[in-house]
Amino acid sequence: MDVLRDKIEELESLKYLISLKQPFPNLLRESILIRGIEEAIVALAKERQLLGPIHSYVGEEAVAVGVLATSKENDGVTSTHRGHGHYISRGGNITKLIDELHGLDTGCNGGNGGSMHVADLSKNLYGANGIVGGGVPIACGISLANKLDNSDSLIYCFFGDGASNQGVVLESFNLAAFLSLPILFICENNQFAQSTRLKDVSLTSVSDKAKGFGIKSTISNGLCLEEMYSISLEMSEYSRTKKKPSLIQADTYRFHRHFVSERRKNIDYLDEDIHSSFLEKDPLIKYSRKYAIKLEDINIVIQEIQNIVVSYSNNIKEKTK
Amino acid sequence: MNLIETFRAKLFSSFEENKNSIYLGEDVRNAHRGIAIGLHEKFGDYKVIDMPISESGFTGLGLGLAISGKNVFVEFNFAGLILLGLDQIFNQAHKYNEMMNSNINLNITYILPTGTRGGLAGHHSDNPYPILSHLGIRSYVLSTPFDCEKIFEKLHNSPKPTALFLPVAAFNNEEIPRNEYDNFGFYKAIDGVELNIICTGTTYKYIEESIQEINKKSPNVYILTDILFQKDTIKSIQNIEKLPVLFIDDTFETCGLSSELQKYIDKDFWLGSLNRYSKNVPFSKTLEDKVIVGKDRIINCLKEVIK
Ligand SMILES: Cc1ncc(C[n+]2csc(CCOP(=O)(O)OP(=O)(O)O)c2C)c(N)n1
Ligand SMILES: [Mg+2]
Repeated sequence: MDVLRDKIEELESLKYLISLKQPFPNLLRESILIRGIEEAIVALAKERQLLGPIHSYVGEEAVAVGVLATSKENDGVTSTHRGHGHYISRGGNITKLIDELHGLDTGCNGGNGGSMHVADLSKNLYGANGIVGGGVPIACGISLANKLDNSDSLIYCFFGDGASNQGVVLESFNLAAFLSLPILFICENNQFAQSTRLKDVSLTSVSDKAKGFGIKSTISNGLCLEEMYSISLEMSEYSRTKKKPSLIQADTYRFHRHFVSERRKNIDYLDEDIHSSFLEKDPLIKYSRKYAIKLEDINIVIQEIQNIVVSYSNNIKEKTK
Repeated sequence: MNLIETFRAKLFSSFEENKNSIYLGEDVRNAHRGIAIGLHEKFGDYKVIDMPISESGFTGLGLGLAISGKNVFVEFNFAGLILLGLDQIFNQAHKYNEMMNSNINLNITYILPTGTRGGLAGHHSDNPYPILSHLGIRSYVLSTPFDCEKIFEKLHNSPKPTALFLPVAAFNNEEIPRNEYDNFGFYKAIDGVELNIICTGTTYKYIEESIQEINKKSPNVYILTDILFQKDTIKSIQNIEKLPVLFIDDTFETCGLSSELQKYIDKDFWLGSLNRYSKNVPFSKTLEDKVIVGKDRIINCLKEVIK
């Protein structure tokens, strides 16, 4: 049972939007779902209604949505500390997600994990991870087990640009390559690792690094829903049929700061001009323009989803007072 | 000045005094963890260097710099990440001089913000300092501004790989009256009656507040910073007043500091200890409070003991 998902799916404004003429209504729906829920979570966290740090997925929706739209039921997903988007697009229970952020025993991790560990094993969602890069070798292990068991399952392994420099991630590239594992690595290059830019601490792209290990790799526009979907179709098909790893470096952007309560500093890492130029590349704006869907209509749905989540959350607060 | 301000001031002085000083870590130019604020602005790109997320790599890099005569500070985002750098600390830095039969001054200091402010869950809430005690690595848990002053003297006079744990619960701790000649490895912070409490920086502040809340006469409160239990520290521990002893520290109860400390306390006076259960820290506040040593558990324990 997922009260929140059901409520959201019933929104007339959402049904209307999906009924409009467009090639990928499901991608749009999933992206809006993440945007609405994540903006609600950000708002709640800013009001200190939620416990612990929250790393928001707003801006990066096209990656999780486009990539995981190609996943099949018995595929699996490993995630990062910025994991709500992966959880939602893989069909994780939304009510249990919000319950988890409130530390309730009805949460997806029984209140034990919180934002940085959200998981739903019934969906082969093996969990978000508080240790940067920590999930990557685990993904390789699950993938090897699948291969040994002659399962046709593909593992989708998400990690960040920052994680790409971690020893264990590079070691995992090597493991995946020589063990010939059916795994799709997705590097979410959202321009920053906390305050550090990839180009300041690495001379090569993540895609080039993976190529060095003999992994089929590509760079794609992570701010474009359709591109993420089509590249993921190609790469997942390759990894599935050839039983070999592949990697997508998805260049994207996080619209909020590293975590919600991170404060601006006097000398700040975030350049206002770069920031606003990325906000204009919002994947939802791009999609709406291309298919002549009114942005206003999209924003109405986002707002309504946000209201549903916030009011559910307020109820929890009332009950647990 | 509070603990973190004093620490920062001492760090700046050590950069001014030693031109070979270098500060490494993730997001240190931006002082993401609020430790080295202003250090990059003052000393520039060659002295304060942002590292990629590769703890094992840059911990070893630090050792290479130290072997070459640099005065190196390696900052970890949070203390749990020491598990990723431990190979380079224990297998390499700690063993280097002995294995090479050399006598190089290894000026390398690992800086580790430690503990939880709540809601950090399993990966970000650990206080792993007793692991270093077990490995024999010189380590300190800083509790008051006094400790910060003393530790920089120590690093200067006796260079050696050293881990400094900065409890987030102690960042705002203010100066306390103390004797200039106190052994900063173990010293009395609050003068009291009837009971000796021994604690570390992860619990000192909560104990101070709890005593006030219970509104009873204060017991003696001693602070343990030297968790390697060096000679002077053991001597000071053995010299405490002949009163029942309670140890309060937010680290695992099993095979930990408590059993080590017990060795140096007359067994007739050992009351017991209040420690973190040897469990992962859950996310939810109610579950977390049952595992870590927060104020509630301290107040309950003190009430029980006083009864
Ligand atoms: C091994 C490890 N090192 C450092 C941290 C602290 N930390 C948390 S998120 C983060 C940045 C991660 O950057 P990236 O992989 O690009 O992911 P993003 O946050 O941008 O999604 C860092 C350094 C950590 N959690 N784990
Ligand atoms: Mg990033």
